[in-house]
Order: sequence, then structure tokens, then C-alpha cells
Amino acid sequence: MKNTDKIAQVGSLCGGWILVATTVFITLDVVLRYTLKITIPAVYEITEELLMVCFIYLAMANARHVAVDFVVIHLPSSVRKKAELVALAIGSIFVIGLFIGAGYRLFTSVRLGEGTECELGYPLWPARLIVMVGLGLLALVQVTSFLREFKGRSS
Amino acid sequence: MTVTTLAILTFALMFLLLFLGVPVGFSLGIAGLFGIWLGWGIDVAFGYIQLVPYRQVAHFTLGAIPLFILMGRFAYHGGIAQSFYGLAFKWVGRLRGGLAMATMVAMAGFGAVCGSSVASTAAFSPVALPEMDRYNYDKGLSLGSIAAAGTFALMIPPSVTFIVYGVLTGTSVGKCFMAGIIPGILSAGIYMLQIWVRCRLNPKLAPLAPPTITWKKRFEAFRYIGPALVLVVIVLGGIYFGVMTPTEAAAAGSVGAGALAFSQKGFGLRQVNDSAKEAVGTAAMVFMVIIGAFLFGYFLSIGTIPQTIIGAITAAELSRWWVLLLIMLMLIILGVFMDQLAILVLTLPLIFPVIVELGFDPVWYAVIHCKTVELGMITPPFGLNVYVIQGVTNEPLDRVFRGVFPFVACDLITLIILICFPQLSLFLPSHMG
Repeated sequence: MKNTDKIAQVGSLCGGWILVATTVFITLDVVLRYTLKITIPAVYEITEELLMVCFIYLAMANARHVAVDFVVIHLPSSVRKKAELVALAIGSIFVIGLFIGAGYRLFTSVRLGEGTECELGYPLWPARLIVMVGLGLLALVQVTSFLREFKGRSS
Repeated sequence: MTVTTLAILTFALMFLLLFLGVPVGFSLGIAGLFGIWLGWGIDVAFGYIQLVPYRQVAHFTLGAIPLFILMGRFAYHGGIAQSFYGLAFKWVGRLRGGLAMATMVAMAGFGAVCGSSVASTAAFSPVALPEMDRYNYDKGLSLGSIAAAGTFALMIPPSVTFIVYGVLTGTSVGKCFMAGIIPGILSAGIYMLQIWVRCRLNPKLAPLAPPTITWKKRFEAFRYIGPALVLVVIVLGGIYFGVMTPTEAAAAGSVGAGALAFSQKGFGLRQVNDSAKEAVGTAAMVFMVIIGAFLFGYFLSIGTIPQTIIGAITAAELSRWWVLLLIMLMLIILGVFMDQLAILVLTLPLIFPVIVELGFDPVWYAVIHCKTVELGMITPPFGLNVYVIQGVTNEPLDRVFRGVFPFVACDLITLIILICFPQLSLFLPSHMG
């Protein structure tokens, strides 16, 4: 099994159950609101942070990213391979850029002690860390795919 | 550098990347950042890179996407697709072409618990097709009816397309959901009428009807569908009466569908894990597209590109209906080549300000946009639903595409009706709690 697949599997196990927990959490808030007139504090904000778990899946969803391939599939095989290589290279650069941006933002967040403005007032850096890790994993998958494709072409 | 030159360069780069096969989210993001970098410098572009991924995804409304997908997966495991088909089979199966009509009714019902067109098509292909084969239905009719009915999931809430539309444009997702109900039912009705007329004119299309089903059995079928109907009422009723936001309704619906699924044999923690993975994986893919769309949208926004287009339209003195027609033609053409999500995020940042400026209702336009791009799901050469059916049944692609053509004609008629009578889309949203 490839290392990237292992990472994706571990991520998917955690992320899937976090989603199920989020589902129960929101439902509980709705039920409590209409039965006991109680609301769970900061349910919206916490849900938004929990959504960040989807970023971990970016790497896993790599093969499913929507692409317009109607031009590429009609190209001759050799040209198509080159186009795919260029697409992977460009994609890698973009995702690395996003990863660096997310890292920089995480650093700023920690430095400024950034937190939510809701009644619980918890720090935002964990959510930003998940964004950075997710984008990092995606960058890793992109670069690995590019290198594999490149080596395949070279050999 | 003038705004026009900047826009031309950015759009050229975007199309080049798209045609190279770079994922849509990446292409939009790269082109947007390129435009911002050229026009306003690298610091501004880097600022947007830091800002967008977290800010645009940490959005409570977007939570509805994985939650509604989870609900659809649970509903599938809970046997809701089969229950809907069983009910529809017993009520309309006896009519000529009744099994194809039953497919329409069942898929419209399933569309109310599943927001994915592809998932709906995949769920019904193994259920409805063997029944239609058993009664010697024409292959084109049976394949075409399943592929076309799969598009109901895009229009009938909960629809992922409406959630993305709402988030990108700031339109109420709840209102978009409600706006889709009557057009969805209208589409199903027109499809069924078409099936009935064709089968009357050519009885060979649907030669045999199932044996008579007693009224007792027909009413008994409601017993199996009851929990699913309660689920639909909770989700749609909750949104309509303002009791729940779409995200809350999605969560409540997921819990309900999960409970239903657990009551079925063979559903356990493994299936919950698979369903949750599927939901988060799809959401991740959508989020990446949204990140790209927002980066591109920021470029358009700070470059005042939509305003430039509005100015050009005003100067050309085109009637707003001509503009709408041109937009729809463009969407139909794009639908031939592109995925509906890609079309949505590519065109919306440009089109939406124009639509609002021309005085069209954003909620009504959501329905028109959705219905127009729906066509792309079943038209050659890239109709996704057709490929799903082909994958499940191994039928030749051309046979499926031929079977779908009468339904495409129906969709065009529905579209004209929806444009002529905006009240059909706006009645329910205007009475929401």
C-alpha cells in the first residue's frame, strides 16, 4: 500500500466519524431548542470548525476533482501524456502555494492569539492547522503523482 | 494594463488550463490569482491565498453538503429507493408505460432525500431496469427514463447545486430549495405525459402491464414508505416553516435516515463509515471547486469585470430576454462539454451580477440555471447519468443516448414553461415561514 493511501485511510476514518458526530451534535441542538428551549452554545461556530475536517479528504478526493477532459482525451497519446504532466505540475505548484498561504495564516493566527467571537471564545489555530495539513497532504499527493508520471515518461 | 487586457489574459489562461485537464477548482484559482497578481501585485494575491481556503469553507451553510450526501447514502442503505419504487409500481404500474412512469414517481420521491443525480441514477438502475425488462419494455424507453429521472435530484431539494448556488451568490439556500419543488414535480409530470403519449401511439414500447394489484396492496405499500415520507416532511417542512436551517434539516434528516438504515439487515458500523467517507470526500471535492471559484470571483470583483459586461449590454440596448436567451444557450453548449458543478462556478461570478442588474429574481434564476445545466447530464457526448447507466447495465452508449432524446425535448418544454411562468418557481419561496 502506498504511504499516501495509508494517510488517506487514517484521515478518512477520523473524518467520517467527526462528520457523524457533527450530525448528532446539530440534531441535538435542534431537538433541545424546541423541546427544552435550551441551545448548545456556539453550535454554528463549532460546526464550521468541524467542517475543516473535509480538508483532510482533499488528498483522498484527488482522483475525483472535477476536470474538463474533453480536449485532452482527443489528443494523440504522446501529446496527451505531456498535457497530463503539465497539468499535474501546474496543479502541484498551485496547491503548494495554498499550503504555504495556509501555513503563513496559521503562524499569524498563533502569533495574534486569534479566537472566535462567540460566547465560548476558543482559539482558531486548530482549525487553521487542519486546513494546512489537508492542503499539505494534497500537495504531497499532487507532487508524488507528478514525479511518478515524470519517471514513467523518462523510463 | 487596462482591465480589458487583464480580463482577456486571465480568461485565456483559465481556458488553457481547463483544456489541459487541470481540475476546475485549480484552473479557476490559478487564473484568478494570476489576474490579481498582474493587476494588483503579488502581495494582494498572497493575501487572498491566505484568506480564501479557511474563510470560504468555514461556512455553516456549506455543512449541508456532506450532511445531505450522508442522508442520501443512509436512505439508500435503508432501502428507501426500493420502497419508493414498490409504492409507485403498485399505484401507476398498471397503466401503459406504467413501469417507466413508476420510475419517474419513485425517483422524484427519492430525489427528496438524495441530492445527487448520479447517486439517484446508480440507485435506481438495478431496481427499475430488471422490472421493465421483465415486461419487455423497449430498451430505449427504460434506459432513457432512468437517466432522465436521475436529474430530478438536482432540482428537487435537497440539491447540492442549490447549496453551491446559494453560497456563491448569497441567495437563501432554503428559498432555492423551495423554488425547486414545483418545477421538479412539473418535470416529472411532463416526462410521464410524454411516456403515456408515446406508449399510446406505439404500444410496442411498453407491451405488457403487470397483473392487477388490489387496492388493499396499494395502500399497504404506504406502510413501507411511511418512515421515508416522514423524513421528507421533517426536512422540507422544517425548512419551509423556518423551523430549521438547511444545514440543521440535513443533520436531522441524516439522523432519521441513519435510524431507518439501522433497522435494515446488513447495515452496521462499516456501512456508516463508508457512507460518511463518501459524504466527506464529495464535500472536499466541492470545497476545492468553491475555493477556486472564490479566488476567481475576487479577481472579477476587484477588476469590476461584471460591471464592464453590464455596461456593454446596456450600451448594446439588448432586451433582457435576449440576454437571458443568450446566457441559456451558452449554458446548454457548456453543458455538452462540462460537469454541471464546473459550469455553475465558472459562469455564476460573471452571469449573476448581470441577472440581478437586469431585474430577474435570483431565486427564479437558480431554478432556470439548474434546469438548463440539467440538460448536460443527459445529452451527448458527456451526459454523466448516461455513463452511470451504461456502467451499471453495460448497454451500448448510443442506445442510452437515443432513449434519452424524447426526455431532452420534454426538458426544453419545461424550461419554456418555467421562464413564462416564474410564479411556478416563486410561489413556495414567497410563502415561507
